[in-house]
Amino acid sequence: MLQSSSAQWMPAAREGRPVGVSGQISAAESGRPLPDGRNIVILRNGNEVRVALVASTGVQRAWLVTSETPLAEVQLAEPHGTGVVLVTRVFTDDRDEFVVLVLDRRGIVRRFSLDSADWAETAPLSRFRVRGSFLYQLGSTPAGLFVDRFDLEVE
Amino acid sequence: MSYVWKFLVAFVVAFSLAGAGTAGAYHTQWVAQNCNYAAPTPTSYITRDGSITVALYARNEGYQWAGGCWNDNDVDDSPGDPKSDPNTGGEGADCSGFTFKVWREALDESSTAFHQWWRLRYIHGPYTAQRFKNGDGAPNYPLSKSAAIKMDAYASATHMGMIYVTNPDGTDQIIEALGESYGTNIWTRAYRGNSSYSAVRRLGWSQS
Repeated sequence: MLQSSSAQWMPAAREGRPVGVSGQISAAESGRPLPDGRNIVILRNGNEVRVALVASTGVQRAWLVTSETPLAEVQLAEPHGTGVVLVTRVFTDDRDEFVVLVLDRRGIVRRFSLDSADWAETAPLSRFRVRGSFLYQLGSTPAGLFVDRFDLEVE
Repeated sequence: MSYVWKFLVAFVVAFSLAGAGTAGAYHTQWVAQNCNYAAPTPTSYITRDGSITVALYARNEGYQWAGGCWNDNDVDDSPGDPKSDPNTGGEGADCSGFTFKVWREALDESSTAFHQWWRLRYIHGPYTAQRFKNGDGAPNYPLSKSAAIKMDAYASATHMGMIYVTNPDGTDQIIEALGESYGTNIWTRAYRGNSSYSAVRRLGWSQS
């Protein structure tokens, strides 16, 4: 079965040279490679999300997040400090919003919700970025596009 | 060359250019040359895996607003049609026509029977994306989005697609007739959680 890039992470280039299709497929991984050599693996199944930071020696840390409200896609899972920041969408049949979770060894240490603000269609997983200790959201309303910034620091 | 001949040559050239311009606007005529109006073949059941096979024949075959006819050569044989024009006669289906055909529905909205429309049968069916979203027609009914599985559909007021497979990150790979610039294919989508979309199911799937 042909899997999309969000199901399999494939190298697009190595040492500045593009990788061919067969090379991409043979190097596909379920975890997203991180600059420090680790991988981050996510699995959304029903109303739960599993997140793991994996090093060459095995799983370093893992979290299981459960929700009473159905979960849709994981928009972002990115290392943050000693843990990760996770953005996922909760939904009912007529409403939805994003939930931002900061996870560390203690579990959820910070949580807040964001309007989905997805009036305009974009690539499905393009709405959030983490830079430093800030989370950025690309949103849209009938009035136009915006980028909001949120502080992820935990007191 | 006499004035009469010059006039005739100019007339022929002008007439040819005018004809080319008309052909350019509706250049494909693909439906007229390739499609048919054969009666559908009744079938006694429909399976989700079988409908995936049917849907995959349309992959890479283009898009035509209000269309519903394609072959299986993995090429859009009428690329670059004018957009938002249902009369260009190009290859491919639109989103709701694609779903209608893959779900083997009947033109009679009160019928839940399964009708196999062959690839080159030109048919769109009576439903728009909005009507699928509403659950209009006896074979279609809304269901909770969290319960949707492969070959159920997500429909908004203007677009729809069917679930091909669910990704580990919670997105879905959707098989859909997306637009003239994109054709029909499988793309990763976040329709499941998007409140613009509702889930709709075809009545009467057999196992698998």
